[in-house]
Amino acid sequence: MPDDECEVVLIKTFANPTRFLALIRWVMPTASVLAVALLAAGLWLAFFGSPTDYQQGQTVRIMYIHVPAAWMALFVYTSMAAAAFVGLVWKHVVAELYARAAAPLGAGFTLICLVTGALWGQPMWGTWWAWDARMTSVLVLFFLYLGYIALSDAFDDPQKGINAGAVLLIVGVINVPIIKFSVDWWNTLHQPASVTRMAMPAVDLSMLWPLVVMAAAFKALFVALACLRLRTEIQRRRLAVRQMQQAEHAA
Amino acid sequence: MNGNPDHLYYVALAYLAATVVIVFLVLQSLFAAAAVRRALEDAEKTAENDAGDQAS
Repeated sequence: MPDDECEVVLIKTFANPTRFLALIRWVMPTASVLAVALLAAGLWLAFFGSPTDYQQGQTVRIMYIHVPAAWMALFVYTSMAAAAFVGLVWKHVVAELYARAAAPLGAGFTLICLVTGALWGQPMWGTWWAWDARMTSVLVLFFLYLGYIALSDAFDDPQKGINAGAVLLIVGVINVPIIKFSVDWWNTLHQPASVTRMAMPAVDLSMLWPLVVMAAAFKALFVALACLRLRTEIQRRRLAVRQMQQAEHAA
Repeated sequence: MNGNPDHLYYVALAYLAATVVIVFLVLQSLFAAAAVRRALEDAEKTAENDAGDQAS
């Protein structure tokens, strides 16, 4: 089977919410257990396994939540935009609902990134905030999340909200490369990438491990919560259909 | 642990803020899931009762 046909078959397989719910039934508990275990290991490594940095001192420990939260903020938005595209093109029910389920989680990760960044910036840079390209574009990402949540709930017809939100997500995806490359394109107060770069990471292994484990913990936590919220969205849609049938029956 | 001890306040505040956001997201997801599941069960029970009334 050609690759593009294979992709379409895969997309159609999980377009059936019942089949998707069966998948969620084992993915959600597995991801939950993984998230708890990895969070415990990550916190232990962050506080007891990592040395203090010779320049940053104790504040290096803020990096172990700030950087994974930033990665998640970008990953969640990109996945939402991809799902919105699949939803618009193939009318894929689960993809449409995924964006609604994931948006508050993405907004939460972005908020963690902004707050922990400010708490690192004050002792290290002497300021909570600077309107540089990296920080401003992440703030725009946070507003995009809030805008999507508000827009997708703003219509009486939920489908109209999903479609309008999908357009916003697809247009807003332009912000993702701007965030990623802002530190290279412009002269920013924010430092350039030290882990996700083409060369070897510029972070020592003793500090890279807590970062990687916390990143995996955030990813597992997101999968567990996204599964739970997606199941809720599918059930909410079934409830709406059921209520409509009852209203028709009563009339 | 070495370094400026004052900076530990910033570290503690950062972890506290992240914990608050994560706990909020977990609780909000769990409560929303429970509320929708309960509403769906009620709706299905009502539909069954309506079908029973119609049959009788």
